[in-house]
Amino acid sequence: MAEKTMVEAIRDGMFEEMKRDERVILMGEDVGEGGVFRASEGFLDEFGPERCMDTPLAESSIVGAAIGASLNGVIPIAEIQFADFSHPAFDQIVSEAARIHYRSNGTWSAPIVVRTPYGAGIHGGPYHSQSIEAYYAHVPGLKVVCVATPYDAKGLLKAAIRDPNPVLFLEHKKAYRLYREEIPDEDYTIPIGEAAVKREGTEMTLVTYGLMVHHSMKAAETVEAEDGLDIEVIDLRSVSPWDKEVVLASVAKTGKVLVVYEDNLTGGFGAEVAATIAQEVFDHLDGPVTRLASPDVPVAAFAGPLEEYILPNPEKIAKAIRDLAAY
Amino acid sequence: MKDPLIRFAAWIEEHGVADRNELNALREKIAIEVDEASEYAENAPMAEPESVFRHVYVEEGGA
Repeated sequence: MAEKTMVEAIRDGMFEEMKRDERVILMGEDVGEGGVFRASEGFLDEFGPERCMDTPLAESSIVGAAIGASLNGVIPIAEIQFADFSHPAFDQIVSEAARIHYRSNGTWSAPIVVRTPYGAGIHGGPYHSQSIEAYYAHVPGLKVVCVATPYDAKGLLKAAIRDPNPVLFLEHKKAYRLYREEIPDEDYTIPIGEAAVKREGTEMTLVTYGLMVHHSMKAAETVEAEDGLDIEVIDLRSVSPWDKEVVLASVAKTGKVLVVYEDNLTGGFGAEVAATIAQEVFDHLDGPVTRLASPDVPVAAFAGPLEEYILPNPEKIAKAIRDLAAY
Repeated sequence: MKDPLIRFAAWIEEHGVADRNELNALREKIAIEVDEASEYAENAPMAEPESVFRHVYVEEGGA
């Protein structure tokens, strides 16, 4: 066992997969230089320029080339420097990668992984802070993973690389170096689509993912200490597919649910979670299915206090828990 | 030399759009403008948090 940050765990996961299977390659802007967040430090020396491939600044081409390579037996990991820059590749991801299997009647598939840092909290302004998961969770044929812990990141990345489907792998950039966690020495994977119950509780279910997992855990501890509230916290870990079974069973047990997400409120992935809960376990509910998210403004603020004002944080989550508990 | 900024500056000179002195004067002017803007921003008071809601859409009667 060794203690790793999330970005170190991701680096190790890619490294081990590239060692294990020579079909796996990494391509993206500056990956040969180690990558903007140092996720591919040393890869060029270890694997050479044909398996650690620097690309032009052209995201559509990065993903398009990855899809083409994948149709010819390669398993490419395409790194997009920031999730905000994935938009030029939207067409390749949605129209090509996600649909090739279906529209070829199961003949072809694009087993690519598109890795990209997402999310706010680093004062990155409008081009380095966006949450993009909801756009892609809408698309059948694509899997969408959102990681925010070192252990999960490594296990889910390995599962994504081995998955025969295209996977969009979203790494919360604020979580890259947030803390260290023990990582087993031996190989392991985590199935995509399984949530993690981070904290068991009886009075309310809190469903979240990404950086909000850490904020929600803090909030749950605060309301336990100050208000004696016993909150169950679930980290979805992936939004497509997502773990309805664990979420619905939890809400049926607790009777109240708060869905917390960093994205804009309207049409964010939490809206899908809320709708499913309202439809499937209505009889168990003792309060309104409640969402806490960012208001419908771009995460455009470079200034710390403005960004902080927009994003959910432990204090805002604790308040939302108390309000719902009092219902 | 693949940097498009450097190549474009060379192209401008080659085609007689501007000479080296004019380009240098322009660079100096821009550097001063950026410095002044940075200084203004560094010294400006922090915006009110509620201002994040402004300018998502064009406001009624505004530009």
